[in-house]
Amino acid sequence: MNQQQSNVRPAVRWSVGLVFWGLVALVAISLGSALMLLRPTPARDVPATIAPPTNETIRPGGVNLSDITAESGVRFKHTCGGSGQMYIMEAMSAGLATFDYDGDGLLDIYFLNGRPLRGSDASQRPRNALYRNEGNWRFSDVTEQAGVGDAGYGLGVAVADFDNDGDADLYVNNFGPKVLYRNNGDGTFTEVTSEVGIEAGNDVGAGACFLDMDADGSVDLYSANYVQFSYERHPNRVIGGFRRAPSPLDFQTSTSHMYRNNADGTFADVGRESGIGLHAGKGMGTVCTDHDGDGDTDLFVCNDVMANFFFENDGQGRFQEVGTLIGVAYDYWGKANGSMGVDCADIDNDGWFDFFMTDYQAELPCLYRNLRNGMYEDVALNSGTAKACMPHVNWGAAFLDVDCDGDRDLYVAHGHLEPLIHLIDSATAYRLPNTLFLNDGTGHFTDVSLVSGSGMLPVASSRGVCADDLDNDGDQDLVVLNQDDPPTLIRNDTVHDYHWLQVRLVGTRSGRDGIGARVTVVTEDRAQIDEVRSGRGYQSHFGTRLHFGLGARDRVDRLEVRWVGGKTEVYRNIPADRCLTCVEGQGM
Amino acid sequence: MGRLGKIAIVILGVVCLSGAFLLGASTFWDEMLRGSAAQPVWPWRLPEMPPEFTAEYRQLIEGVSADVRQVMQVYPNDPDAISALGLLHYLVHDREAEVACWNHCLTVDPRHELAYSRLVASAQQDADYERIVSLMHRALASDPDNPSYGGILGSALMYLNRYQEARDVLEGQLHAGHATADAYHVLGEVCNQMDQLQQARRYFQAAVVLGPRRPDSLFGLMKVYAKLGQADLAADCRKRFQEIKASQLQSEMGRDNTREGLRDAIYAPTQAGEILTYVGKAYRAHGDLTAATRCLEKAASLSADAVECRELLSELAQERQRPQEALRWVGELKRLQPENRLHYRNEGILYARMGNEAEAERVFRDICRLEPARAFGYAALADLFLRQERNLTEARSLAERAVELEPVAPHWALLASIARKSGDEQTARKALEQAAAAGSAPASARANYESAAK
Repeated sequence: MNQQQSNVRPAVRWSVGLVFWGLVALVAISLGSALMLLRPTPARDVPATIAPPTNETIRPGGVNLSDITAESGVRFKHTCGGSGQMYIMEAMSAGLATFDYDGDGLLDIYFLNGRPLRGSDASQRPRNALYRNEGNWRFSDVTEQAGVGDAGYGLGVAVADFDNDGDADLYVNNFGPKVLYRNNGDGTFTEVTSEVGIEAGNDVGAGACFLDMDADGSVDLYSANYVQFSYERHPNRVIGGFRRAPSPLDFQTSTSHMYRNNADGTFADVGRESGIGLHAGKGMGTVCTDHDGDGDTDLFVCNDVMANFFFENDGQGRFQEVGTLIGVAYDYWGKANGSMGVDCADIDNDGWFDFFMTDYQAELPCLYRNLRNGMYEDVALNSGTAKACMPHVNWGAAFLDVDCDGDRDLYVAHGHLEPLIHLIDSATAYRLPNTLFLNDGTGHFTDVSLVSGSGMLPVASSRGVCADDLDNDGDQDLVVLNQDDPPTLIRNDTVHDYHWLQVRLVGTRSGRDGIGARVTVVTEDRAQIDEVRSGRGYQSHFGTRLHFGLGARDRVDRLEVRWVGGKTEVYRNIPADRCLTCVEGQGM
Repeated sequence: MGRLGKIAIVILGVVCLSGAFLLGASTFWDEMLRGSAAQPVWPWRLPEMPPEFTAEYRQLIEGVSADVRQVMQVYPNDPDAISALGLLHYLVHDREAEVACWNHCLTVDPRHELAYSRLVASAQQDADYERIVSLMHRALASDPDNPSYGGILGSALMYLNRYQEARDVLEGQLHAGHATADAYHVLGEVCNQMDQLQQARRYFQAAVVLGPRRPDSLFGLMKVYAKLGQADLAADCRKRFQEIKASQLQSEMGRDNTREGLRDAIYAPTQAGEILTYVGKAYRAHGDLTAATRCLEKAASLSADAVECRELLSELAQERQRPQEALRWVGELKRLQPENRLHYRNEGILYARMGNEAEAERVFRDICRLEPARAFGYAALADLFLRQERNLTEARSLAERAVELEPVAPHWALLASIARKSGDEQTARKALEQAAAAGSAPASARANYESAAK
């Protein structure tokens, strides 16, 4: 090899080496790109439920609600009896009742249940269930002993002492034959529906109310019907690739019933005579109140995708429908919403009752503020309730003073109709946590669900809600009926230095349980009002024992009871933190 | 060659080789990206269908998906192609992917109305009015003259209880000349919330004047009258409101439940057809008339009632010099929209282009008969006679009628041309003067005028 050749060899080796490593780098880059390109496309991550906040997000202090369902002994599980056909009553599910059935001073719970509908497993025999409050948050199933295990399709319930014998009777508004149970006073009930003249019927029931419409001392019965339904004419819907639930618009309206109590243990159907039967609607939740302060009981009926009814009583049991006139038929925009449940309270302590009404998804809830001239205005837009409610379907509503500060807070139950809704609309879900709103005293509400304890964590498709003091500790607890799920029992563990007063009325000339009576509680800085009602919220019953949070005030200066019929009794200088029983004409 | 020279050669060689490899690699991968559905320009994807879909719906979606994929592969940044993809995601209820499409659409076309509309709808589902406010500000920045944006912004501000802002926006709309019933209605609600009842009354009254069958405005007016203590007026509004609501309820109750039950069978193909129409528009915009026609024909086959795809097919057929085919589509449009006389006019023009003067004349005479108070029938017939240089006397009286009904520049120009053809230069000159005065006269008219003026 000559000099020149020996000089070229290293250069060639260098070049070859560089080219080689360049190729290696190129291959490496290519492989990396190919791996990236071949990565799988992420599947849609669609949650079937909207997750509740974790415990870590809940701050201590403030309202504290605890979910004590697991240790309560309640083993009830609701069934809508569906077979995939999506019959309309499946979506409705049911209400529930809290009341003292055995007079032991502890409030018991009555859950309504569905039954197998056409096409589903008829061997299943679900029934309603009565749970006796044993104290200390233990409940036992006494349905069999009590004889109230109706196997009908339960939708609405109301409780009252219709025969004035001193114990609470029970009315169940079913899809199919209705049922009236008379309390025998010994822990048992007897079914007396046809015996007392109540038509069993075969309608799709809804909410119900007992009210003394003519101030004769016996409670009458309003029983709402929803829509006209038949299996044969059930509409099948396939929209957007999915089987969908029917709309109320697919059905005709139906007429509800008003039964006048004859005061002899029987009822007479006075639907037309009373004016109630002249109006066909699609009734759902109902609530009674003396809205105009004239001493008689009026009636608010939610109608689904129709103008709500408000029946104004002339004092004699004749009603005029004035919903549009007084401003509660439609929402703020003049739209007829999918109205579900309604509750009544004085949200701003101005001495006049207001209404909160739940409705369908993408609709503002309605907060009808009493304008004190017989008219109402929907102020939901300013109320603080819109954002939490609007994306969801809303059902039960219960006003309660959760922190005993003297104003009415609000609990709202959510849950969709359709188990697969999350695949269609990611803004909502079939199962959802419910919402607790705190009132600032002026009727403006703040959603405090995330900071109110484990009781706000359960995720379910909720329907009826009851707010009552189940452990007699002076604050109001909650029970929620969930569709196709166990219920939720929520104990109020809020720690505070505030005071309270509970009032139980016993009528002597008025109805025995004081239904329709108004109580005014006056402390040094405010006056609160409430009424004894039977049937409220979403087709449920609660709150017969009135609860007043007193804030820092440890005594009530004046307590006024205005009985149905107008007689008023006044009590003065009452210490707080007790349950008072006021007997008409006999004092405390 | 010295050592340094050799090193330089080596380095140069390495650089050249590396450059060549890199260039080759990038070219290779570019080709791969263009040809692969998994390698888009922006990270779009086709929807995944839940297994719970009915078989019919799944089949429909799959049929449309293929066309959307093809157009997105070729034109991933075309607004119509993106719209097709967005609507496809909507049909499959994949809101996240749908929103991504609309957001990308707006980066390509900041004035895209459909994108804003769908994004607002999505925000409304979440009751996220802050998002709507943000969207509408953006929309107005790019399209300040669009009256609907102001109304949506005002409503959203109202939901957020930002009443003064809502009022400022909506009154700005009115001052800009966009006086709509919606704007007046929302202003009425806003003023009601602000307790400015007299102003609320005026706005609701204006809304009712513009939309006398609007129950919401009557309801608002009723509330305000009641608050003002004007019970009689409130009662009158309530009566009218209840009449309208009763009528609405009646028609809702009488709706065809069978049709409702067949909603997927009826409406889903229409929605699929709409998607294919956007695909067709995308192809057309890029000059691929064959693909455009194919997709639009598919859209028309899915929806017997769709108008837009048929209008586009008629235009495409004309562009492709297929008047007979265009005529077929116009015939379908006439069937779908018998009251739309523009279809008649187009039909007549097509007949004329095909040399079928008798049919063209028949169609134009039909328009004159059906729409005696509108000018375009007379103008079309007059123009036909002018082009055929016959019936000039009748042509002139037709043109005069057109001018009388609608004194716009093209009609004056037509009269001028007919007058000139008839030898009436004086009338022609005057007509041309009128054409020029009426605004943008056609160039031919201007040329005629200038030559007549010499």
